[in-house]
Amino acid sequence: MLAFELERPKTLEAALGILADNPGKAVPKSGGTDLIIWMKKRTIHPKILVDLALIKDLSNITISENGRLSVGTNVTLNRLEDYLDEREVLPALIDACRSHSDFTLRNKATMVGNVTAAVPSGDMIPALCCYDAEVETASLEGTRHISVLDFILGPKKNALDPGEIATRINIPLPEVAGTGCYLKSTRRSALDLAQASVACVMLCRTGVTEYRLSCGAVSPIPVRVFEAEKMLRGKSNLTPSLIEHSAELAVEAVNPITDVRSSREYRLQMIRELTKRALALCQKRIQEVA
Amino acid sequence: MTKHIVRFILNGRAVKIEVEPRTTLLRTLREIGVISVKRGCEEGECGTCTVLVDNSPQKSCMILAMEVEGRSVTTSEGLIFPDGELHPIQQAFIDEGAIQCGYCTPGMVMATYALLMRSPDPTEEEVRNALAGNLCRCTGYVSIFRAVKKASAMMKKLPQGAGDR
Repeated sequence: MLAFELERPKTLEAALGILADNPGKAVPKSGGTDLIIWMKKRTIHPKILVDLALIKDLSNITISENGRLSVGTNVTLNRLEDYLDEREVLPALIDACRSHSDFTLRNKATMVGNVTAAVPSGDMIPALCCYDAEVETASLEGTRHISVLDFILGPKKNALDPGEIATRINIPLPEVAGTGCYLKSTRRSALDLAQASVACVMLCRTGVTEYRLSCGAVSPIPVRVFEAEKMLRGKSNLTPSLIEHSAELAVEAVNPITDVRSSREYRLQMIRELTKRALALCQKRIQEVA
Repeated sequence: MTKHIVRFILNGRAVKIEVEPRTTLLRTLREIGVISVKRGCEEGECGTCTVLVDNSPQKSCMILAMEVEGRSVTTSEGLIFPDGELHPIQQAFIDEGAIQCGYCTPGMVMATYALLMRSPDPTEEEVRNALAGNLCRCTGYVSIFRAVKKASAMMKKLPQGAGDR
């Protein structure tokens, strides 16, 4: 790694001050499991690394009175998984936590970091898109709220301005009963990036069942399969033909590339298959709950 | 580049070391002679540099030394009892032939220790999940899983807390 100075501010204001005083030179870090690798490969070489780990305000998980879950940038994936599992909320996000890297790395890696890295295969992204999550940012100019769908602009490109930090991810907890899942195709079951992935959320409003579908690793920006969601709205019984049609619409919504992990053709096949499996799994899980 | 002093507890003993900000915990530990902690991929993949930081298993190649300021770091050396006797986990790995070249072993031992601290009687799935981030290229995992089971049984025979380091 090339040499740098490390700053470990204890407040968000101090961190923002360091970033503002050193434009183009200072880079913020939470877990760092992605950033440290890029620094070792010399793809990123900050003069100043701003470690956010000691900022207490960014280390908590809260649920507001209006049912909004808010996860600080320092919250590790293992802590988040335990928190959600204990409260039995956001099942697709629990699946996503468990699918990320391995248990040991999940003690360091964070959800906010996974989204900020903006890699198309980011495991947390599809589930967050299904749950209409937003990224909360802070800079000396103030705070912004950007939906995860709009936050990721392309591979490794996010909507953060220079001097701005992603401080939290906020998720409105569904008010109705439902279920969800996240399925991922990989070469090995741990420590691998997704070849393709699908998050599916099912919400049972009185009289109207709603679905949300999102695909990962098959597009430069996050994808919600709105066409399939529209088609499935109100259908509480997922027939084989509905599932088949949804899978077709998912394939039409994505645009994967061929890379070291798999070919475009394989990814399209996997999106078809994972969409079918995800819908079937949601149907199974909702019956187990009922 | 400026050097900084980092102070932390290493295997129960307070240490004070001068480091550069870019130095990882892995390299710092090896420089001061804690050589059970191995340099493998240095990209967070192989798990042979696994240590405990405040009882949480961590890959030390992914942590900057300055990040452990004021915290407690445990390595495989720290599991050995004061009289020199091996920890049941270390003994179980030997007994079950869960070692061939030995390069992955310290990381496996630390990940196992963390597992047995949070789940003294783990299921097969829990064992696999806990060790998923530790790669072994020679023994194969079956003997390692057997060693974990044996360590779990051996630790239950110890007086309450005697296996805690």
